Amino acid sequence: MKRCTITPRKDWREITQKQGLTYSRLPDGSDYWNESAYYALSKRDVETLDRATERLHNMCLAAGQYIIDNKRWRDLGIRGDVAPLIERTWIDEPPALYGRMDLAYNGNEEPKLLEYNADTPTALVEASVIQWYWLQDCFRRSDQFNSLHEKLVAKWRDLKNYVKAPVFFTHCDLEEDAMTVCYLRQTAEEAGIKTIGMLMSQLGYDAQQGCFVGFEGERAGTIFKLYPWEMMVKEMFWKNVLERFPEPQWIEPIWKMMWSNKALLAVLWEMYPNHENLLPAYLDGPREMVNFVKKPKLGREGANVSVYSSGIPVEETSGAYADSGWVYQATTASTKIGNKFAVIGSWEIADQGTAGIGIRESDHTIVGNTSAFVPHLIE
Amino acid sequence: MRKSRAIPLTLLSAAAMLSLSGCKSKQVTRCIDSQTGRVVTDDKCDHRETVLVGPPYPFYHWYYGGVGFFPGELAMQGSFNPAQDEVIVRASSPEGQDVIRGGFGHGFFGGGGA
Repeated sequence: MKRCTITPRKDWREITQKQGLTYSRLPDGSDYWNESAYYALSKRDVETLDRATERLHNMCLAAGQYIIDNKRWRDLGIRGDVAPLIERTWIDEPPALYGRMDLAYNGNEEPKLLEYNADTPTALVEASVIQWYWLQDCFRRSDQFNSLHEKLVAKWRDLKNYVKAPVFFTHCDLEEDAMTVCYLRQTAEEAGIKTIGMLMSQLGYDAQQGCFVGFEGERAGTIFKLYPWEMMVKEMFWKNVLERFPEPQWIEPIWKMMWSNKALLAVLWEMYPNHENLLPAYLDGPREMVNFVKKPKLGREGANVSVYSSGIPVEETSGAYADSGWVYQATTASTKIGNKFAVIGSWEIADQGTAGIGIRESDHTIVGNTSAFVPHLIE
Repeated sequence: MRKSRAIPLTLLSAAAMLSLSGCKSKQVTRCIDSQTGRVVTDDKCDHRETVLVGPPYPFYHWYYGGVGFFPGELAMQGSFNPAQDEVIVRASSPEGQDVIRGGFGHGFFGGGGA
């Protein structure tokens, strides 16, 4: 795996915006999409990432059962009124759609799991669509580790007889989230499922009918929400979720709270110590580690992360997630590729398997919300 | 590896267009007391002329988007002007229904993680 530089397409900004990347400008003024470089993977790299993602996904399935069997709710910071719903949905298996594992991998050793964005993953449009058309324009004869679109449509086709159409798609009032949900709606519509879009804050609850409703008071039977469960369980409508459970169907289901919590990393290390796709991770402190990352159990976009070298903090980010508890995970050299630090976002579509990757890179150890998305190809 | 067809460009163009227009959600409005920023019942705005009768002259406005939907709540992050080309819906219950809105969506401001 190597990083190569290239001259960007002259009108790349207009092209990518028309294709759906309407949120490329970052708050610091830099561009989120960076096609002045690309990553070249060998077929062996792709096979390695594919195999590791599937293996880790199966380990996470085992970890979910382990968390439930051992009632590790306190370690995950999950309340007593939430746990029964997690247990019930784990058994009933209501519809689930997708997740993105963040992996450290530079081709020199096995990929290492950094986290599993299993509840509200984004960076989807650029991984599925934008980098694919970049490949068509710049390296038409090359291939890409990317079957996201086909597998999303296939998954919706599988779900067509299980969801209650129209499926409501809800999100926060942010361009990236709106576009991500918009794209997901497109994949559902391509599978023949009618959809309705709205903000999460616009979702209604009809106390007379005892159901969540849309703008016109219509019953919402299936709700896709790009909105985290850990926030939903703190908000006013949570009591209505409890009252009406298991209606409506929520995608992702609430059991995803077990995977989207970084305490999962410590549970996995406890279950599979020294596994080649894991890094040492603990909940009670760094233990024997002197080179480690301290990160919040429920953090996002690299916020509230501290990097320690020889036991001393050398890099840290601010954020709003400092109250969710901490996970201490060993650092790895596998994110270093050339002069950059890169994280591989490896996509898993439920029951469809690994569906491709997106790569974000930074000049700093912590790959966060100002890190650029760089396309890739297979050599 | 991508094993089948390319993504139809029409789909992508539609997605981009939708992001900028049709796919954007409807905009919720509610009546607020502009002196306190707090939500009041819709009838205050429906019959606005009747409230300008004496000091301290509270003045009621429709407030679009943002957060805070229920009477007594502080409305913020929205605008006194509706967004163009968006359908406006009231946060309050339609007549004959018992619908409340805004029970989700206040605590998270995006970013794909967890």
